[in-house]
Amino acid sequence: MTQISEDQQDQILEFVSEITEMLDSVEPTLINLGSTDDSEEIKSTVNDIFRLFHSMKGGAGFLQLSTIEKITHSAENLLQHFRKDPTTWHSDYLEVLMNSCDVIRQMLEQAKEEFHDTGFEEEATDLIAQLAKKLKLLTGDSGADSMSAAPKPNVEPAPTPAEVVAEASPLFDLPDLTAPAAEPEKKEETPQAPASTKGLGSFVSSAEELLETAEGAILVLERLGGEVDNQEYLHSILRSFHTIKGNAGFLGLALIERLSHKAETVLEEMKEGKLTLDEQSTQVILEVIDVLREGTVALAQGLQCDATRFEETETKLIAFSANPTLLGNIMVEMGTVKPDDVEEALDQQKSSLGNILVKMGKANPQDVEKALETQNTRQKKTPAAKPSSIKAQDIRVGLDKLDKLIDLVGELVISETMIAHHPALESNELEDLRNMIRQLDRYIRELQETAMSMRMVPVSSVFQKMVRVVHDTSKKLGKQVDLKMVGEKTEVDKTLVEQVADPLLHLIRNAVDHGVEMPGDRKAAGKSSNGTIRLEAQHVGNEVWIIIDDDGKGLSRDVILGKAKEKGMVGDDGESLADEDVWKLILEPGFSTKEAVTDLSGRGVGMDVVKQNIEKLRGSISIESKLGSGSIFTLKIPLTLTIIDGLLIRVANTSYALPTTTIKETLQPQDSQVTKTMDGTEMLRLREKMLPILRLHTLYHLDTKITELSKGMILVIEQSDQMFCIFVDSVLGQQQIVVKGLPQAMVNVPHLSGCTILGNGQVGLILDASSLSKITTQPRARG
Amino acid sequence: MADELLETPLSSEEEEDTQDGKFLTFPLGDSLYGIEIRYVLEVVIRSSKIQITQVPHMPPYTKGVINLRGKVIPVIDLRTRFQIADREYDDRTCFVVVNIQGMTTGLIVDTVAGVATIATRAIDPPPQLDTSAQSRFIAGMGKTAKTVYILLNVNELLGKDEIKEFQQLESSSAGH
Repeated sequence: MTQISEDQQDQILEFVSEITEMLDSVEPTLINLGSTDDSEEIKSTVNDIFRLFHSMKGGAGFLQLSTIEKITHSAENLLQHFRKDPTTWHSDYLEVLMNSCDVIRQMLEQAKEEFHDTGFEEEATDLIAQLAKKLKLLTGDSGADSMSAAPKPNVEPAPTPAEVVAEASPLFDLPDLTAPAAEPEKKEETPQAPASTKGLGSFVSSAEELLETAEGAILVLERLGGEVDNQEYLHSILRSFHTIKGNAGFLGLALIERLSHKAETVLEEMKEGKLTLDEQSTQVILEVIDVLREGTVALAQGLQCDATRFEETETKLIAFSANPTLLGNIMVEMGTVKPDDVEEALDQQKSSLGNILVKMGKANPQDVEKALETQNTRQKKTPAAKPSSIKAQDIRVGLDKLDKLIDLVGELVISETMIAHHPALESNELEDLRNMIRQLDRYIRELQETAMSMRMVPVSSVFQKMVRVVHDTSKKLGKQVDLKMVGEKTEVDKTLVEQVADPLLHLIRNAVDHGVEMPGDRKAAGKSSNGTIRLEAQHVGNEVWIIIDDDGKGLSRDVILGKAKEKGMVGDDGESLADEDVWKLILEPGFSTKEAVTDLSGRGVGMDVVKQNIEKLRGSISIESKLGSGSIFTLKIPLTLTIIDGLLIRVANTSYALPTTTIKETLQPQDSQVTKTMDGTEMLRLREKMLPILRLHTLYHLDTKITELSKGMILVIEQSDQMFCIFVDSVLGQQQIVVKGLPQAMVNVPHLSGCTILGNGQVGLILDASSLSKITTQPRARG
Repeated sequence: MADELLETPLSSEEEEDTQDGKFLTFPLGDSLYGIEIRYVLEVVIRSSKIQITQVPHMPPYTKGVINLRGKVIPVIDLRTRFQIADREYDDRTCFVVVNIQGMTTGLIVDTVAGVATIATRAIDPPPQLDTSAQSRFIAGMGKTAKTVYILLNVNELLGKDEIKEFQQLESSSAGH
């Protein structure tokens, strides 16, 4: 591979992110195919998958990711077969397709870093062989890879528009694309603008989108013709054709240009009321859409458009547009003329105006040709609608830019806090200024919310990954499990989505592995043989809750307690624990109840990692379970991670912050409240509770003057249902703080979750309440 | 902020031609030291505005973190690092902000002297006789007409492994 320009790198990155998204959305539907025999569903899913592989192939070809291109091509060949005949589909074909997806994902990962896809030849060859084998099974023929044999464009002396494109884009062979349709006078008119190769790729994808829009609109019109604003829908169809026409013209795709132009004309007439939209016309327009779609599909495959198809449809369109229900049909209806006469007249009308003029002797052929040339030039001048107008509501923004924005907003919040807390403002004369600052504060808060909302993405991307997980896990274990997803559109912070993926994976695997029973056991227990796992996301207050609910066998109190006792996690008093406390034991390190350790889950590390990860997000896990009828795991995670309300405290000369949500109360203790045990542990008596005291200065070896409890402050912390106290020098106050990561060299400092910049410009350290809570609960080894 | 940047030969000699053979130099104790200029991002004079926040469980030479225009960076005291007697920070104390393996770090030095050009052929290997642990910080001895600079091996200054070792030591001894 030769040197790659930055431009190409960007294109590859864009390609990777687009395809990954598509893979994420299509893969689950692929898995559904394994369990359905509804031929309609198969057809539509196969179409989706075909389109995915198809776009991958186009893009990969353009970006010279030839391994991806080859695999997708083979997969496409196979899929093409199911498209033609959905009844031949069988879930046996699923695996090879999913393997293809997997290998492609790996290559995409690599392409993201290294901008090429070499190094996967072995896997690719293997896959292609498998795909070809499957295809052979289906068709009985060799399923030869026509791609490798695709001819190079035939360069003729006089460059036609298509050749210009073909030359710029050796990946798409379109030498004959325009040939059947190219009128002599058109040959000279090469689309001047350098038809970029990128243009063709994006043309194909945008055309597909536009055709979908048009199709959707026309179907709405067909169904609800009288009830909706026809004009609006007609206009949307019209615009789609218009854009396709413009782009096709720009790229010199004459067949597509002409057909969409004709379609545009017909729609214009409809809009103006000259034509009515009836069953027949709907049919013709749908046909136009189909033909255009086939054309673009062929283009992306490097094949040529089926010129005959195009011409037939064009003829229908012309006939139709020249056959206004207004005249021909009316006359037939009136019995004035016979349908045949109308047909004949139409045939005449079909020959172009130029020919008629020539026939009439009003013009000579040269003049007509010249006029046509001019006409063509004029049409070309119609500016091609910018693709951006299609999707004006959405723009893709790099995550780094968004992060920068959020960083800046964070800085803004800090600066504003600095100003608002400036001692000079305390003067009575500055009431005005203080009001202005309050105003500023409101705007900044709003800005902050808006900025944060930009990072919000639906959880669906993670949820959809779970479809595959459930499929793989259940298959491996011989279980039958349906995954139901609710609230996939719930939006959460982008980083949260990434960080919640792992814990979710563990929980889902656990639900399949430990929760749902084998089909036989389920039947014996009077349940359906298919287990159901419900995965739900919803917003509750300032939190997002992710719920994993299975209808499996539930948690067994006895088994868990037995295990916990065996491991010395609880004493004999375990029996008195409430159910929910028993369930929490499975989240502790080293706890695993599965007798045989499987390679899927149950290594005894999964659940405590889940708990840690969720606590890292300042979230919590709650468990409900009923023996015999299933378990519900609920992850409750705060929505935003980067800006929190914090309580600032001071020890020695350092400021620390704790999220206010974890602080129950702050108090100045009296000596009478404190009891010291033999091993030196200090306990605070708070009403009816005895709470251990953690001295921050001892923990961190800080040199402070305040060592007497009654001289300092006590924070009462509640974290994961545990209460304890932290002793500090003083409490500075409550403030919104922007959480920043610690420098890399310091990420392992115990009990710190990050840092923040305070109003005075100093750095404050953010304490991690959940990790502090562990110190107080850990049994002490020695005195 | 501009006034915090040092108006030293650093900016005047920075002729954008080449950074090769150029060293930021500073005295520390009795010797002169040099750091390859390509590692140096900027030099910030310590002022009362820049307070160091102490970070627990870090080796003694890591004095903590500072806020460098919104970015939180660790600062390392080179005196402590080289086991040279401590000295109070004053208004000449500087943070030499360097980029070591992608990590921005401030090196605390008494002051900076300037920029010296030292040709590769004028650089001798570190003394072989010196068996102390400190010798790994030395990349070479740079000779100019008048003086000899101890050229520093920046990648060793951060001591990533040392930090880990230190923390393991701390946490094992912390369980009173």
